[in-house]
Amino acid sequence: MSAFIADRMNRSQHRVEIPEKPDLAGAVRRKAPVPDFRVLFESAPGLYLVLLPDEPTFTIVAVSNAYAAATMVKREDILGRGLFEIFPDNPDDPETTGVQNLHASLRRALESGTPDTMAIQKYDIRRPDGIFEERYWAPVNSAVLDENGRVHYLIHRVQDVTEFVRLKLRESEQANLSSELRSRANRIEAELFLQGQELADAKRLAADLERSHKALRKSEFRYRRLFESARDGILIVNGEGRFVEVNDSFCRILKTTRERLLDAHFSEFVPPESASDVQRAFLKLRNDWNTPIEFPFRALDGSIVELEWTSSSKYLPGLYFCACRDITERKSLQATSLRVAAIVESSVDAIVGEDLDGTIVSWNRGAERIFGYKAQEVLGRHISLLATPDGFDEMAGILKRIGGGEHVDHFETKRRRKDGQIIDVSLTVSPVRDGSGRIIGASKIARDVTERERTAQALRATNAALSRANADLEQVAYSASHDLQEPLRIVAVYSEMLKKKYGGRLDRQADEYIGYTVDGARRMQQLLRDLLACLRATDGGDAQVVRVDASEAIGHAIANLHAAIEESGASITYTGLPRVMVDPVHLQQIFQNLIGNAIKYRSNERPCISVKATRRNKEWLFAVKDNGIGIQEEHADQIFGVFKRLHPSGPHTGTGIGLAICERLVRRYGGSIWVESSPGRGATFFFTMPDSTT
Amino acid sequence: MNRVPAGEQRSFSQCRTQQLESRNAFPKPLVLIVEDNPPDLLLVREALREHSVNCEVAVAVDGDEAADAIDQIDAEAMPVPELIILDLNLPKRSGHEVLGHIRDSVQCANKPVIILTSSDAPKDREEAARLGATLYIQKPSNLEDFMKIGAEFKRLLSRTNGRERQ
Repeated sequence: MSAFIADRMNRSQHRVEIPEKPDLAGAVRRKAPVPDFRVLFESAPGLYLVLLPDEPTFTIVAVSNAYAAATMVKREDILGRGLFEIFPDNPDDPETTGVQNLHASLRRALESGTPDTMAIQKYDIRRPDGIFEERYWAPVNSAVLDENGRVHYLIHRVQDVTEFVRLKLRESEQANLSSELRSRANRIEAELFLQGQELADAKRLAADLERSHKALRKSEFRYRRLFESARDGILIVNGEGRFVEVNDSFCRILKTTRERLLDAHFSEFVPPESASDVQRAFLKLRNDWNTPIEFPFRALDGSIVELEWTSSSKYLPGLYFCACRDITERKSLQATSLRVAAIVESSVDAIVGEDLDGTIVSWNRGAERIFGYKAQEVLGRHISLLATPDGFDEMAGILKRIGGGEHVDHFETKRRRKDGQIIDVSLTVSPVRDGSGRIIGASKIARDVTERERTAQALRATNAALSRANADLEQVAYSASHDLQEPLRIVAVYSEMLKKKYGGRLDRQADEYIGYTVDGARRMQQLLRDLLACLRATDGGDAQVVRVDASEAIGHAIANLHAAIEESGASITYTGLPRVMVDPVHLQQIFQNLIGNAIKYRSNERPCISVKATRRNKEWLFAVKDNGIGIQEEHADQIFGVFKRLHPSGPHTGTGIGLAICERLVRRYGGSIWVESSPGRGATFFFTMPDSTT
Repeated sequence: MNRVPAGEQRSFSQCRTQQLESRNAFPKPLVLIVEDNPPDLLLVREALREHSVNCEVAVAVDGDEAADAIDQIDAEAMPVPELIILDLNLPKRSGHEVLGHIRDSVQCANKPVIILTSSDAPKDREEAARLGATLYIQKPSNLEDFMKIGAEFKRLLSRTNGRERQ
């Protein structure tokens, strides 16, 4: 054999150190006839290939005829060449792993010195025409060791199982496999089984490994998905307190990126004011990770996020698995509902919940106070308990309206207290809906208005008394003014008579006295006339309210003021005036007094008076503007008083009743009147009148 | 009956006595003034004088006296006045009542009646018109205007006199 090997070695381009065999053994063997091992080897029925351990080339140094035939090669073509040079992977089969697997097996055999059985391997063979033929093999690689235990050769033994595999593959497609074929397959299978005990074990092991590997990968994939898609923030913190791993949700919660968070220390995100709390919480988490703990983190944008934490270090020592949930909204909801509960409870109003049948389901302290029943006395009882003897229908009516989705606002009614007292209440009732929007009951807010009602009644009574007194007073004033006119008329007329008959016939002083008497009587007559006019302005009796065109009213006023306008050369402009609901005489009177006033208190310039109106809310705002002497601001309010005159004598004569009449007339229609002015700049009188369209 | 000079104040009873004594010698038309207020009565007389109304004046100072006078006239115990000047605000019986009585009378139903009152209340005007007042005059509050109503007295008096003459 050494000769054969030597011979092969010589022919090979590879030089391998082959130790000489000791002569002793050769001496012994020389006694028996020596078989021709080469012939024997080459003719052996198995498929063998002998390789040098020169990884990664694995030079072919011997091949059995059967092997050469099975792989369609000629011996002389392959000896001395590399194994994978001769048997490369099928380039058309992208999934092939033949070369890789065989290499690995050879290396294992090389390293371990023991046989390495490969699983059935697809390893296509290149035909002489270059086309690859599909083949399946069951290879075993064994090392041949020298005396020193070093690997001398590698024997690569294979069995061609292509046919079997094909049968197996076809089995699923062809149910009617011939019995012959099947028995043949069985035979081969048995053979294979016998030959490859190790193979079966290895296969099982490999399959197990593969399965567990796959399961692991799948599991990892699943957990990764779970980790990433969890809505809660999940993170792993090391013993130092740095983030080792964070999921997307955690990044979202802290409003930053994974890159920013990894390796960051958790304390960076703890708001300073809650640092000690967090410290305590962490210690607690370490010991009891089943109970969630709440503490806030500060997100990267500075906002405080309320978080609920759970943690565990159970699985990997030195690493803490933490999960946190954003409970900011929940906390604020909690706070709100607490606040609402507190408000409901502390409300002075009765707040009562009832279902649609009228059964009382909630009862606050206000209800206890107003109705006199304790909550435990009324819960579960019917609301009609509070009805007055004739109020049952009304109660049922309210519940029916609520059932229809209506609201009842400030409904004034009566209820009976526990002590039987009937009280006035103002009810506001709203439907209560469940999550799906279905009406399930009513929430009633009742306010005890007994006191208010009493006060209001008293107020009404006082008001009525006041208006009566006022009316009486005005009546007295009216009658007095009226009755005073009679004797005054006599005084006036007879003082004139005296002047007429005896003027110039007494002495000069007498004439003067008579003159004063005549003037005084006249002035007093005028005052009485004006006072009566003013009193008539508030007397609601004989007004005839119709729709009046303000332009027409001004027209009449101007006609009445004809002499004064003529004399002063005043110009009066008015455009776009509306129609208002008023007694035409009153509106005319207002314009007449205001325009007359403007003319009376003119400056040295020619009087220019303009009248305009603008709509304001539901009324018209009239403005009568002049260029007269104006009014000092501190007098602006006084001028509407009865007999108020800012100019005691001189050219501006009058009793000072005109604006008072205007004020009373305007007020009569619910309007108001005021002046804006400054001395020397003219004055603008504003007054409001209700819009005729409303 | 003696003529009572205008401007001289005299009660109706005096007036009646005089009338009965000299009925036929009564050449001037008679004006009956129903007025309780002496200054106003004097002013009416002044107004008549102002316009030189040539008349005799008889006076009643309250509603009852006025009604009595109308009855006397109907009984021909008194001469028939050619003009009646009637205040509304009278003691005992209102001027409206007296007016109604006048219009219901035989002798005075068609005689002119001037309402001379301080009232300007529309309801007084309306009532007076309804009851057949010839003229409604509110007592003027100055002398000049008061004197002017003498012209109205004269006009109405001359109208009735003229008619009688025809």
